[in-house]
Amino acid sequence: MALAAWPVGARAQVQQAHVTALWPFAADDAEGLALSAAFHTALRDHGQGTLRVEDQWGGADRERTRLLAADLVAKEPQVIFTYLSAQLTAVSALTRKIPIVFVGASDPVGFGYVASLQRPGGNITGFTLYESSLGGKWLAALKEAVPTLRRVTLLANPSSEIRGSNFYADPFRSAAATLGIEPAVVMVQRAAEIDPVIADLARQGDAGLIVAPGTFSEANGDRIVALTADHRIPTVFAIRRFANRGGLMSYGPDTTEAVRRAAAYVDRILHGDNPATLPVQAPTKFDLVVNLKTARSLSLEVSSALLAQADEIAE
Amino acid sequence: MTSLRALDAAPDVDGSPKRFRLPLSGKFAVAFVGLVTLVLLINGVADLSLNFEDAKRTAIEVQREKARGAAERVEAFLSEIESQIGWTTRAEWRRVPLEQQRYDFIRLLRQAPAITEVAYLDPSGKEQLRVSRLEPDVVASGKDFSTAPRFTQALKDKTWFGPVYFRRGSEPYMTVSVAHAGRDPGVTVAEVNLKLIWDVVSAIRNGTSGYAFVTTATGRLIAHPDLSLVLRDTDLSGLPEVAGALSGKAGAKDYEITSGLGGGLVLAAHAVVPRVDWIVFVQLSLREAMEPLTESIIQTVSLMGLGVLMAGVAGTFLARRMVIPIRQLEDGAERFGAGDLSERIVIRTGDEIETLAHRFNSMARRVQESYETLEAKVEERTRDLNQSLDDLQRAQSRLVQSEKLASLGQLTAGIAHEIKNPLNFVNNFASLSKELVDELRDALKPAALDPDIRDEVDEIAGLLKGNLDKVVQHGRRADSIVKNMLLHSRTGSGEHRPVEINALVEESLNLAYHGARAAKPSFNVTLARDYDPAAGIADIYPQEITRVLLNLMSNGFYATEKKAEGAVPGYAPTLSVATRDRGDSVEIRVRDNGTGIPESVKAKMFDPFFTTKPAGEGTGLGLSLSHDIVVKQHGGTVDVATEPGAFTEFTIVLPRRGTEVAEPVTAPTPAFAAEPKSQP
Repeated sequence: MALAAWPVGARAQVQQAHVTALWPFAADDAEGLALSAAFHTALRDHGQGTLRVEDQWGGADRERTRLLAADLVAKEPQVIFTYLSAQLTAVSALTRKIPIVFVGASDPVGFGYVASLQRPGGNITGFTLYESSLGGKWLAALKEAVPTLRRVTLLANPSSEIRGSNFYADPFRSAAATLGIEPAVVMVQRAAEIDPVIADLARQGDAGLIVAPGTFSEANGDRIVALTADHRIPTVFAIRRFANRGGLMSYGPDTTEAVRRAAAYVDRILHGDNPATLPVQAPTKFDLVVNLKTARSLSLEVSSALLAQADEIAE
Repeated sequence: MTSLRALDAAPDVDGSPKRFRLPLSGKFAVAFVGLVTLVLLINGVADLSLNFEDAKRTAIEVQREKARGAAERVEAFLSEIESQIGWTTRAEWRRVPLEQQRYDFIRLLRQAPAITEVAYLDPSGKEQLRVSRLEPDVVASGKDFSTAPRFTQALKDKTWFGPVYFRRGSEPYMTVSVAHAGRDPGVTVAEVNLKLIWDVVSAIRNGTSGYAFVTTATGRLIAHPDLSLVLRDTDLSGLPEVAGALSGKAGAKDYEITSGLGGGLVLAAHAVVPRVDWIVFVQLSLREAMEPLTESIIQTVSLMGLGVLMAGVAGTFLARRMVIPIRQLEDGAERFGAGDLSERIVIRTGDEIETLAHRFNSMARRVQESYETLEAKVEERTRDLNQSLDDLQRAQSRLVQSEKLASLGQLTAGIAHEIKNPLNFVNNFASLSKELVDELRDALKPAALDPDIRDEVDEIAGLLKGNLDKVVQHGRRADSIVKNMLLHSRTGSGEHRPVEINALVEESLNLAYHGARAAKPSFNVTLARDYDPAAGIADIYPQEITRVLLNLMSNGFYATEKKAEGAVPGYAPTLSVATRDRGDSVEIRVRDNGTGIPESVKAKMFDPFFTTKPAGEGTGLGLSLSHDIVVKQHGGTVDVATEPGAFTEFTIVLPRRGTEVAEPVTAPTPAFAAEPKSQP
């Protein structure tokens, strides 16, 4: 029976390549759907018409993500695509064989996913979204928008924790020192932990918030936007859409572009390229989005220099 | 016939060792196809070699052009960055407020995505402002670059392109510094992410498989359509075309046919971007570059194939067309050789072969004709020979017969002569005795005798006298016979003289009849005489005419006898003889009611030696001589009227004065015995 079944399965595999994408979004998340659509479109544009792309929506739930990861690895797709660090972590622990293309691992070398950026050396390669120096850049942007700023908290989450330290913490702190700002780095793992941080900042006054990117932030961004609006805390996101949704600013790469380029890698791997030889690429361009409406609600006068830097002004 | 057979049976001289023999059609086809193939091959090879050189030259030229174009675009990319940096290098720029300077830098970053960081070095080489995409802006860091090339070289050359370096080990970057205008200038320094050249390089289209890439002067890859190769920090100095370009020899060829990055032969051309010493390579897989050539090869080869195929078809067709008539010719020649001359070779090709076939046909016709003529001639000759042989045999037997008859004639003449004397005595003494009887009676008359005795004497004397009369009568008859015998045994034709025709005919008839009776006592025939008293006298050679009459009469007897043998009931053999006076001439007819003469014989019956009688019974000379005697000797005519099975009637007409034809017939010596049967 098994002998008879095997060739059929093998043929099916050959006939239709199978790619699984693991997303840090809920199945009905608009952002997730948009990125997924971009991914699918890019794959189709590369000519993978017969490709079967399966989306797995794990949301921010780590446990669920782990279960999904185990499930999809067991199905042995040709390539696994992961979006953001937590998803890569969950999948990469399970297989050294199935090629994994990631988008958004903060420090793939630091986390040990790849041997080096130019030669990953294993089954994992992909596209980073952020640089640690952005910790300083976010702070500088926030300071420029709110010159009176005296305290800024970096709201970090576990996906950017490396060896007990946050990926963005050091540039953040050094920039804070330069700008004369009191820095604080708070690591949150649950949504409930956000409230006290913001409440604390509101109490202190002249405070700002930097929301580091990550699965947690993707899931709780809207909540943070709402809280900071309530408490009139100027906030910088790494993730663009939260500036559009009421955050003061965002400064980060074009994730859709990264997903598209990752699709190109998926395509190359499906065509036989070895992920070990595909270099990990970094983004070249970061977009600054300024929400003038939020600025007005915060009674902030946004400088023309800042506006000049902005790639998008949300009103 | 036999000679032809012998020719046909001649052994196959060269056929004994059975070596392979290419048929004529094969030779023709091979020659034809070979020639066409050779021409096509030469043409194809010449064409291809020309095409190859041409295509290669064109492809190289195209690649060279592409390389130059690509270099220009890379250069344009750099110039674009330079010019974008340029608007921060106004002479008065260092005097504008810091905020304005920062604002300008931010705009620069916005406008030039490739620039990730831009800094301003004041005239003393100190960093006054730095704006980065990734890091917080830095104001008046005071870092000293006064001795760094980015400062010194920029002051010297206005623009300085630094060496390519790789950030984080993978991303290619380059420092571009542009000195400001005016006296005592500062420098704007930009860090340029060369990944963005990717847009330029990957936009360079080169066929479907071709692409462009850029290396540094040391062969390190800085731009390639496959960005991952660049990020992998690829050193291409080992690649043959790159190594060739790096050697930098002046006049070195700027193209190369070599194995490319992905394996496989490529045609690579390169051009140098002089300001940065980068080398732009453009390469195209040789297969694609040579595609026109490949097409041309395919075209040429398929044309060649088509040509060879057509040549093959045409060659075979022509060969067949040529060979079929030759085969027919061969078959025909074989048939002729085997002696079958009746059929003709039919070839309608309208060429020399047809002519040849005609020649063969006419030859066969001639042979056939001479054949038939020969046979006819042989037949004729054979017939002639047979006839000659028969004639000879006949002549021979006749000669023998003649010899016999000649001696018989002499014998007869001798005997007749010997008989004549005693016969004369018998006749004379019988006449004398008759007179003596009369004398005796006279003598006895006076004597008185008893009347009885006297009566008895008178009676005896009367009987005696009667007997003697009979002796005289028959003696005379015998004398006549002997005379006739002597007449016939005498040679020569004798003298012509006036002769009583009726007497001559009667004499001849008697002689013939007695002759026939003498030969065959049982012979019986009715003789009918119809003499015209006016027949009178004719001046003829009586011996000769007698011979003619004897001949005709004995023939008539023979015919009646033959018919009598057929035992026809109520048949009365009759020979009629008639004479008629015809004024100047006399007609004699001899008619029998015998077998008649068949038509076939009638024509030849006057020919010498022609006879219908069995061998030994006739010489065949009778009628011939008779004809000659009557016609030539006497100037008369002989006519024959006959009906087979009914009668034969010869009519001789003799002129009364036929003496002018005095020439005697040169009859054969034994002519008198022409018809031995007529002899008693």
